[in-house]
Amino acid sequence: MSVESDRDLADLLPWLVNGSLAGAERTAVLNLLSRSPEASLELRLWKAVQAEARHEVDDPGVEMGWRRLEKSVKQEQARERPIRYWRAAAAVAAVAIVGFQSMILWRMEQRDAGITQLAAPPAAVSAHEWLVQVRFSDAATVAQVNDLLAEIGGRIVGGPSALGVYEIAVARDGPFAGTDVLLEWLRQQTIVEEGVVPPQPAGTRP
Amino acid sequence: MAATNTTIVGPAGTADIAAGAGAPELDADEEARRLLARIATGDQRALEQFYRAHHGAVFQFALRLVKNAADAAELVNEAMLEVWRAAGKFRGESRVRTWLLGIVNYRAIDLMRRRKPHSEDLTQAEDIADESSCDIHEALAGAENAQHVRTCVERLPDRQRQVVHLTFFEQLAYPEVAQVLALPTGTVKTRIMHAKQRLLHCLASLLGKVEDLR
Repeated sequence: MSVESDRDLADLLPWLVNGSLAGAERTAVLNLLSRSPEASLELRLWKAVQAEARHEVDDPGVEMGWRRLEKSVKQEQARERPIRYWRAAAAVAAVAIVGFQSMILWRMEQRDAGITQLAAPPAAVSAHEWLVQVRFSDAATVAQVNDLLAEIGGRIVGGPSALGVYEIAVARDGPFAGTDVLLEWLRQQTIVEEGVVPPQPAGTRP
Repeated sequence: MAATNTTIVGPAGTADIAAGAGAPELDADEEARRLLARIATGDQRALEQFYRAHHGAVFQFALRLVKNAADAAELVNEAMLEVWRAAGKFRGESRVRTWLLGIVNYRAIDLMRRRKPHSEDLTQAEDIADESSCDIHEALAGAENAQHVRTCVERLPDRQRQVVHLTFFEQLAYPEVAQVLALPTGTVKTRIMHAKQRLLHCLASLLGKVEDLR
């Protein structure tokens, strides 16, 4: 065994003395003691230290110490209590806010149930009607439009769009044999600037 | 691993060396673990039992860290309050006593930093060994006097005295000493080696003074 490792082993002597050294380290240190007089002398030193180490300094006493700790624990609990209440209040408030928001959303849904967008596709074109899109001139009056609708047997089912286009459902059993004839007639009206036949809604014939 | 007073047979001078971990220590650790589990649920009676069981050891170690009884008592209180707060965080990877003394150690470092923010750092400062040689036989003659040994241990620098205390008063294994002081095991061994040099020098010097008086 080298000198250096003997030095390392000698550094473990205190833990041989206190009984915590175990296994191979303990065996190696015991071997060192059997061959090294110097290590044996060091062992005497540590034994002397061990004998004196249990010299205790008087302390203020366990009762006084416990009363102090008990007081500290109570103070800590007193500090924590408002925090716990605050947390509980915050949780209740959060639940209330979420509930209130849910109620508002539900009420808005109920209120908006009957509203439809004017630009939305016509909802009620029957199988007995054609759908045509018409843009009236700016000069057209309401009376003129109503007269035109009466003449063709039509009704406005949508619009006006952003481009001023109205969607009109026209009864198929009216005076026109087909959409071509209807469009031709509409284009001849002074109050009509443009008229087209869009793809017909599902469930209707062209 | 803590010591019992089991007598072993070995090389000359080793017959009274303690060996092995004893059942009473293991039972004490088991009891401490049970108390910690109860403390974690907010059981103040368990805290009181724990306090009474460990107060002495914690106070003695605290005294080695801060050197006056009032500060040591404050450290005991802070450490036990930390036990009350953090009992549920004990992971069971060490003995309860090792965990507890580790708390005392970092609380002491915290206390010193609060009081003297620019003072020497307990954890970082270098150990300074007394390199001057002395006659080991002369020193050991000094070790025959218990009062001399006590005086020389008290004169050790804080860092060396803490290692000596944990080793001989708490009877901790060196890895446990390292754990309590949050140091590498090599540093613990270095500190004990430096402590030995200082003790030998101190004992020889005290013996010399006595001889001079004669």
